[in-house]
Amino acid sequence: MKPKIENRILISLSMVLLSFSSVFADDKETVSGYVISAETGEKLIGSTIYVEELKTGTVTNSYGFYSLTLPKGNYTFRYSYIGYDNASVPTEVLSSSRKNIELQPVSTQVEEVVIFSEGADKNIRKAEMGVTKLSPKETKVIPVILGEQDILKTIQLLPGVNSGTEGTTGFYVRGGGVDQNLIILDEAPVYSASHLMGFFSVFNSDAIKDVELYKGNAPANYGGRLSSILDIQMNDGNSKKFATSGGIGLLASRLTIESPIVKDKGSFIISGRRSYADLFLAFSKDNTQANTDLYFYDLNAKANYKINDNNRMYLSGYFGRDVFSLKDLFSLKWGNKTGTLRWNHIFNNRLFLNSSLIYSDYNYGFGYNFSDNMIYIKSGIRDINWKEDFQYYINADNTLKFGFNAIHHTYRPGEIDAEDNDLFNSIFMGRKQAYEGAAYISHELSISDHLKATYGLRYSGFMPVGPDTLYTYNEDDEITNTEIFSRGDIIKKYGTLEPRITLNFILDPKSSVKLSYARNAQYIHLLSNSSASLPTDVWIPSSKNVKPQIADQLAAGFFRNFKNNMFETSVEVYYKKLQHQIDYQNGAEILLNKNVESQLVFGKGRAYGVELFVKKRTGKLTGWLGYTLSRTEKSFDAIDNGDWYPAKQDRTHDISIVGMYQLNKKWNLSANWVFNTGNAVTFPSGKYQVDEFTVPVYTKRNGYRMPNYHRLDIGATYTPKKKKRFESSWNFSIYNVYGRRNAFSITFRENENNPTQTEAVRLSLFQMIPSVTYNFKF
Amino acid sequence: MKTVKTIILTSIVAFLFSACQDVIDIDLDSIEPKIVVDGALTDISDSVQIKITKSTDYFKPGNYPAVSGATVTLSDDIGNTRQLAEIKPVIYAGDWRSIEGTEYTLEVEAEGESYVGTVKMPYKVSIDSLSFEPTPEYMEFTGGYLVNCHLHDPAGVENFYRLKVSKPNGSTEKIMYVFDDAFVDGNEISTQWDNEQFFENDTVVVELQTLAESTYDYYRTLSSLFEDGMIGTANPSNPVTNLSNGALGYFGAYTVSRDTIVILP
Repeated sequence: MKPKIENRILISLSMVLLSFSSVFADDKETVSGYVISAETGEKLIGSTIYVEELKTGTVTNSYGFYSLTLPKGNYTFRYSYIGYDNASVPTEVLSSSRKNIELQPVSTQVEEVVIFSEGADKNIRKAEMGVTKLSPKETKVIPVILGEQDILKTIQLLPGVNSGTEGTTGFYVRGGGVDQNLIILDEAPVYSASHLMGFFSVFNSDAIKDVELYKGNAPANYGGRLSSILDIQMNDGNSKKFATSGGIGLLASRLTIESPIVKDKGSFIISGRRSYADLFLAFSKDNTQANTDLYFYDLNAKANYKINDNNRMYLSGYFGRDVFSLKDLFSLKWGNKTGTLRWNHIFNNRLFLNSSLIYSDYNYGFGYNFSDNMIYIKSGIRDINWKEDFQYYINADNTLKFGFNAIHHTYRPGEIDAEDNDLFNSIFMGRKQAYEGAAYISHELSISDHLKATYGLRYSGFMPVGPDTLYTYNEDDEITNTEIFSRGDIIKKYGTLEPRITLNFILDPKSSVKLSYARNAQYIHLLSNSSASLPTDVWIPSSKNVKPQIADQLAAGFFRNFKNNMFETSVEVYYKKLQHQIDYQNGAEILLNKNVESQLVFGKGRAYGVELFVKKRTGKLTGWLGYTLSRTEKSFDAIDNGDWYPAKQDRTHDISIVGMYQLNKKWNLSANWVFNTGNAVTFPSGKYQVDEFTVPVYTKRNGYRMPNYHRLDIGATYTPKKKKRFESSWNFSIYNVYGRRNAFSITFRENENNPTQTEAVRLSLFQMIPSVTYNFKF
Repeated sequence: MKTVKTIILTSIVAFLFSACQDVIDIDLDSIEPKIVVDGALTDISDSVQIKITKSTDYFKPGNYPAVSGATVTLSDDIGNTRQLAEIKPVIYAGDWRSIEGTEYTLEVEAEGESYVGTVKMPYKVSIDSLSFEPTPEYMEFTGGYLVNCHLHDPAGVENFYRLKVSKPNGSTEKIMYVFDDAFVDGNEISTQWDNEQFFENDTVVVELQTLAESTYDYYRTLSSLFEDGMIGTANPSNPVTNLSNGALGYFGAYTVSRDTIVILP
């Protein structure tokens, strides 16, 4: 029965789309092309093209391509991109033509600090909600811990986005879990986005061009996770000249080389980074520390080549690794590898196609020495993804996006390689395989000057296949049925229809009201049982026992700009309903447990809140203020009898204030202050004694709160005068200036001197951490 | 053996960052006291002791209240039944021999409620031998010796163990070290007690307990409450008990094998 309904919806959708075909047949012509930086040859993503005479326009896509279909005539096109001078270009539209534009970077420093590279009133005009665009250049001056620039840390300063535990890069969007964020780097999913147990993200800001975050209301071309999509694009590499840049920080150093392959036709970039905390440890007097290895490195590389005006190829890759070992005792290594091969093809001035072949691999290996018997535990996930994305620019008021993708997932839940020692047996948990696919169509349309819409439909499917052995469990977690599937057998099929719609009612040029609804399905799940994000967390696919997670999100917002778009303000409210959420039963064992599915419990969730945002975009002082009032709750039959309880990341209040001030041409000052209600936690209410142990008694899941969290960071950037081609800057910052002892954890123990007395112990990290980083470019 | 997670988490925090710890005041709710049963059968004793107390609020200092006047009955699956006597506050005791492979049931009736737990005495695995080696230099203490315990795990059956090591003066550290044979089934197992080191001429007594599965589950989930050290578990929960009706604690069973080694390098 279900497919029939889906057919009907698809049919009616195509009817709607057909009704627009009437707009084609008239004497209109199309101008299309790329918007490019004159300095580096980088394609500029999201730059605006405005047709002054018609008061209409478009923006470039994520490959810097645009297409405008207009009645024949003479026009003035205004091209703009933040940090670049506007270009007004008289354009005669007589026949369809190609127009590539190079924009010159703004020469004065002051303008460069303007945050968020968008058309000045894009927030009012576009039918999209819960979207934020950032570029590393814009966030460079925001102070961060140990001076290591981090795009994920900046994202945590936005309303609706909560940080994980102190200092970590994990983030929660509108109450969703860390695993409900899809992080894609040049379209390749990055399964573990953190270095050093989560204190630093894997994204080297030197290699990143553009970042876009969708808080659950993404258009139909995105999908696969419930809460958010973080779309990160790597730099293409300088196609004008050879360039080197880098930085030396307290924690890590970076070096980037970029160069044309053939001038204006192709270029490459290689960017590397390595930390050196372990070098300091070697001098430690402490035995354990002196024998510890602890470092990470990563490498980003990308090349692109223009075959001709209509064809361009991109090859990009990321490779990162963390190593943590204690001499002879254990070693833990983990990391991501991604690779993307893309082909941009322009069929004609209106039809753009991107084909991608994507590879992503995350794995960890863990070696442990048990009395001279070495064992290795390995686990991971690997994806191969084929993706076709069409963009059809029907006319200035209609853009159609459609496409499909097919992913092959390989899961390695865990295996032990005991080599040839006597103590351990080698264990192979088997590899699980699954296919995931989706097809979508999305229509961006301008119904009138006052009403714009983006709507679409995505159909996603998931299919675990054999070889696999599947167990069915009873209430006592005993196996009641065993099914064996051989290679290629279909274990289960899941399909979800995901409608998406955003409506934008433009009240006047300065204000608009938006409404949006989206459904998202997620077929893979992260099992983690620690408050810190460990690389040993395990990804598992949906199966017969584990249903896909589904979220429905409804959002509404009011957007208003003031003083010629100098101030941007918004109020957004959202309500999110989550189905088939996953948690553990008490005392669960997840590592290398072939019956891990019996340890899971399933329930539902809900999240709602209001987000206020005020941003000052231009002037000497820029920055923003974000406030979120929200609630996130879960309900599991197996936990507290199904009562609603607050999720760990439920934070009633969350405030971020970010300010940047351009003092003069050389000095730039910045500060940010954050405040949030403490996480919901489970503390003991009672205690008892067994054997010689004092055992805590827990009553309610997440029934207590950590203390409120707040912190002020300040920073200053000094940029000496450019010497010939050589540019440099010094960045100084202090994290947690007033030394607030924020609780990283609160644990309970017996008093050492008096075991009948119990006490609560607070662990706090990071009080007043100064740092300095030197950056250069030539 | 310390769990790997503890090592990783505590070292990361301590190495890299200026972590600091202090005792703070926290308001915790008051709870209704619950019955606590603490007792285990062993194969080496002719008697049994069950402690029955009540839980208290978390920060309440002093001793736990005793439950007196309870009816405590022990029975097995071959028809033996015995009522235990309250020999002094907290302690209910009586003569009892426990045999491998037999199932035992404990029933406690107190204050109008009844609590029942069942456990099967596991088959015994004995210590093969003990050995010692110099403490490796990467440990947080050095200069002494660590003790290893060797045993032969029977193949084809699930086994659960606890290791307890006594210091020369007879006292033991408050450490719950349990392990199972999931990855080592049927092998010669060597396990190291690396929580403390010993010195020349020390006499060390090692006790290997073979645990009933429910006893292992209780001990394992109990120890996981302490293992994350400073970081804290994401979702701490009460240890998994085999007692009914919301009673805290456990009714356990284990066999005991002991051996002694003198550190004479």
